[in-house]
Amino acid sequence: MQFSFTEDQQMIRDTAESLVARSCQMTEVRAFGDGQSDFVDALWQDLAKAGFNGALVAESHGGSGLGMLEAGIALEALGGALAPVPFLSTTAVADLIGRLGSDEQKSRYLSKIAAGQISAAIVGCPDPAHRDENGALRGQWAPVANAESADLLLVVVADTATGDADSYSVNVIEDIKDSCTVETFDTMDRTRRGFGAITLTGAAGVPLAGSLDGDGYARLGAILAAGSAVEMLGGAVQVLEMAKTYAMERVQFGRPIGAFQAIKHMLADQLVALEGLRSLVWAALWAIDNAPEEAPLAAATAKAVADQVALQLAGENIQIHGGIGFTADIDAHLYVKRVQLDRLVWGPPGIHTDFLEAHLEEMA
Amino acid sequence: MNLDLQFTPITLSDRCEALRGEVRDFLDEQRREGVIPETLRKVGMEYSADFSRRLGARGWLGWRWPKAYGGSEGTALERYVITEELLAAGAPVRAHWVSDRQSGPVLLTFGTEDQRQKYLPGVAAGECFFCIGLSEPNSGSDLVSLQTRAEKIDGGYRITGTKLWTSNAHRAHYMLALFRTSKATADDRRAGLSQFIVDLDTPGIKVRPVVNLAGEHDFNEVHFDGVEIPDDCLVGEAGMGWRQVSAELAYERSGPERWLSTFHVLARLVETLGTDVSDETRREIGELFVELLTLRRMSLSVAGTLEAGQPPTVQAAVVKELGTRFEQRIPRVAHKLLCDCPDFEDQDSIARELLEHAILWSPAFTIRGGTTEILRGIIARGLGLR
Ligand SMILES: Cc1cc2nc3c(=O)[nH]c(=O)nc-3n(C[C@H](O)[C@H](O)[C@H](O)COP(=O)(O)OP(=O)(O)OC[C@H]3O[C@@H](n4cnc5c(N)ncnc54)[C@H](O)[C@@H]3O)c2cc1C
Repeated sequence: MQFSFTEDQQMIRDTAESLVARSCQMTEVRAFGDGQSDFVDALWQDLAKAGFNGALVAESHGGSGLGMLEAGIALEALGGALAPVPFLSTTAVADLIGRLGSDEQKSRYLSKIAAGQISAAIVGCPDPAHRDENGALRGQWAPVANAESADLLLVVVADTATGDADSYSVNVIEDIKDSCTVETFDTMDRTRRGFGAITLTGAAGVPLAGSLDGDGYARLGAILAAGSAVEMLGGAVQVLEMAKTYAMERVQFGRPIGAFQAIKHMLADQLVALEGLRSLVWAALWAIDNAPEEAPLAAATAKAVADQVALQLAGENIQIHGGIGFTADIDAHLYVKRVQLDRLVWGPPGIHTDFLEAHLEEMA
Repeated sequence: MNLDLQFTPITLSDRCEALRGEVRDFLDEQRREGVIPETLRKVGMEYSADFSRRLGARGWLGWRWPKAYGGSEGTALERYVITEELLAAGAPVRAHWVSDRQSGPVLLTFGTEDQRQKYLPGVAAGECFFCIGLSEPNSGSDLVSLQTRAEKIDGGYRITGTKLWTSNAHRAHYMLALFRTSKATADDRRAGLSQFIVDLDTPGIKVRPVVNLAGEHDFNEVHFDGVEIPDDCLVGEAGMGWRQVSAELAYERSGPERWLSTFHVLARLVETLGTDVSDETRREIGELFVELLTLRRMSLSVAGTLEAGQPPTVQAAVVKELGTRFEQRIPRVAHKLLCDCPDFEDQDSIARELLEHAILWSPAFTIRGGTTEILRGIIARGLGLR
């Protein structure tokens, strides 16, 4: 196993970090939360120009033909900057279309995704849609990321007709508003908009040419879990940096508060937790590209740990800031609120630990 | 073990339990009248001057104070019962809370006869509200370093400086504030602080809202730009403010509000989950209840210590340290259990709203009224560690 970044990956990382530093400034994120900025389109374009939107799209379709690890590099930077873009859902959708789409379907969507012309949402993993007795598609999901603005919705459907529990089809819905009920709602996370509940009202959309087998479904689950985990890692890294910086600046009792052992130990515990998470996250992303059989377990582990560590660090950052941490004047609250949503969007925290429990039982 | 660290078990008298019944009947009535909401959608205490007046009319504010100042000459344990019932019902007690808990008692102990007569009857009637002016931009945990000055002038004092995080300053009548009246001495940095009552209508005071994490205007920044207040605003002895504030802080940290903030979330959780729950869920709820009952016993013995006329400094710190982490954990556990609960998203919007509000407020519990780290320092000192 190779656990350090290659030279290329390091370059990609530098690109992602400087792009995000330039195109996703905190002042913009905050203004966006108050409904007073629309920098998101420009950020989306910049990401596309740098080749990130097409990370999992083949070069023949205008993509950059990279892997989930490289997509993860972008996600870490985006999570750290609290970016309001639907990068993960769009990336997962590009991967599915690339794997299962007919040539025509690939040409129809992939170059547009890579060029940043469209964004996507996905439902059905976990909780695939099913067909009712009349063959109509049924399913309901909330909260769905990018529910409001997606140009494309992919629905993972359990194929009960084949009698194989591990067979799924994937349907593409273009006219989302006509085919499903989309109920958008505000969440406590003001750094992203357009979360919603999606309910299928019977419309089927068009199935991708190929069907999804158990391995393919597991890969999708791993991409979503590890992708979300690396975004949360990005947030946690920023939060620790913020806490550390404040601990060195804020003076009480004639000393920086970071000189008190209570604060030192809190920060040291955070670093220990963060490094554990970091290893799990990159191992999961690496496995998706290089050791698919290990990916589901690695990704579920990474997400289960991210759900805890990111919450812990974001909360303790407020504690270290004292009173000002409980205000909207500094950014600490944005991270706490974002984590709350991150924990729910790709399946509630319980599903990842349930997966691990089931895995342990199999081993026993 | 050091005597100061004992938690003496307390059994509530029949008189206390009878009073509990009276308070409950009153609260039921208030609920019927719509003064207290039937279902709670927020944690913490709502602000209602009207409700505070109703409590005052019942004689339940200033409970322990002499009748001469509008009090009821009751006991600390009886007061405990009243506050516990009010909090458990989610009553809107915020307007009078700190005046009844700490500002009044400070005036009773350290105030002049004139001050007692002027302020206490209003507080006991639920008509006169205080806020607490301790923290400043550069002085929170290290309160002693505060910089707002009260300079002696002819007939009074001139105040210059800024107080921060002052809850309710925008709706209270007075601030019980700590200012610096002279420089700290070389051998005692606590010297030179003094307590004052500041009428918030005095010209030159600017109250600026600070929006909190939940998006609410609850605390404030209060500027004093050469504000002049008369001599009779000084509370107690000039320069002895620190000793007085230490007593005040023991009151501030002593009550059941330090572990009941999210009690409704727990109650609602049990209701929403219903009876058909997994063993694991049962265990989680069971653990929370064990802690709740333990905290209640400990909190009662703090009230017993107050009753015995002793400062419950270390016990109060122990209860607040444990209690605030407990009330902070409840929403986390509730969130986890409810996420696993099928159809929670569609069914119980009230529980969701309440939980969201609890999640947003919970970081404050371990900061306000002295941070967890500072409380641990007090507990360690109580053990004799310096
Ligand atoms: C909701 C809310 C309401 C409030 N209402 C009021 C009010 O009405 N009136 C009022 O006067 N104040 C009020 N406060 C202020 C509160 O008392 C202070 O926030 C608190 O005392 C901490 O001070 P600080 O914010 O300056 O943080 P700091 O003191 O700067 O602390 C920052 C961090 O350093 C840690 N730290 C500091 N010193 C030490 C040490 N020696 N050892 C270990 N760790 C240390 C703290 O624990 C904290 O984690 C309120 C606060 C909140 C959140």
